[in-house]
Amino acid sequence: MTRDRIISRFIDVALLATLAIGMWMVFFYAPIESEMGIVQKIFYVHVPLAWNAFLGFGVVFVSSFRYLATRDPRWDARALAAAEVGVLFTTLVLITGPIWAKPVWGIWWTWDARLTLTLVLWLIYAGYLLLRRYVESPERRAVLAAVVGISGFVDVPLVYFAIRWWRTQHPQPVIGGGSDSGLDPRMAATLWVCAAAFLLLFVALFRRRVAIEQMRRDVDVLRDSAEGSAA
Amino acid sequence: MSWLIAAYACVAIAVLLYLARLVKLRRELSRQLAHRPRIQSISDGRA
Repeated sequence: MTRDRIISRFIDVALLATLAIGMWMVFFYAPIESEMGIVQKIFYVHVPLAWNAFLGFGVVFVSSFRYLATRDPRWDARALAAAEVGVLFTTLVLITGPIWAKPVWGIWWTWDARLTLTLVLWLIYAGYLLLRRYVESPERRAVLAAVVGISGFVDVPLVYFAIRWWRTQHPQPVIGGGSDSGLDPRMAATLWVCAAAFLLLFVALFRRRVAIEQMRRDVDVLRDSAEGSAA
Repeated sequence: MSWLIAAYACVAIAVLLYLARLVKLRRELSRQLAHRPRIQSISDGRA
């Protein structure tokens, strides 16, 4: 078994264990919130998904810079993988948010700063993935994608600080939000375990996607050499 | 309770669908890489 496979297996086992513990904590350990009731437990997937989506776009940002500096296609593959998982997680943030909002606010959606900027973030990186699909030349595609990946990251701090800078329908921060914020210790413990589970999920999906991109490059090289020989 | 189940189900389904897509992609690329000797022999023959 190669070193990579051992690491992947370890991550998978840790992911399943953390996910199982996290789900047990969500349903049997964390208390039911007094105002919102049981629906508040959506929080334990909604928030970790958002945090890890930010992480994904951070990886796109760093990898894109590294690609432009080195022109090493492995950095481009990392940026692509992180963008895909980031878009998946942001999609789920945009689905779980309205499912939570409807019973609590009475509406699925409102155009407040946090929600709108999150939608814009999704559009930027969905556009990034579309761009990659429609540019033929690999070098040109990687450069254009890197530029979008870097510039699109501007929206991440805006999404994060939106609820601190503006009055929004979206709740104010419960972690790092100042003296008025805070969580019940059992809620906080559950949130951290769920955040760890989604971080491991991010890493597991990211590694798989990067490996696939490596295989795709191998196939492309093979095809090019076959076509070159045939010509 | 149904809202909660709906949210968790959406997350589980989406992650499983993405994982299934990765498995499908990987299988397809493995199949193409497995044809490597044949592609190379064809190109060698042409050369």
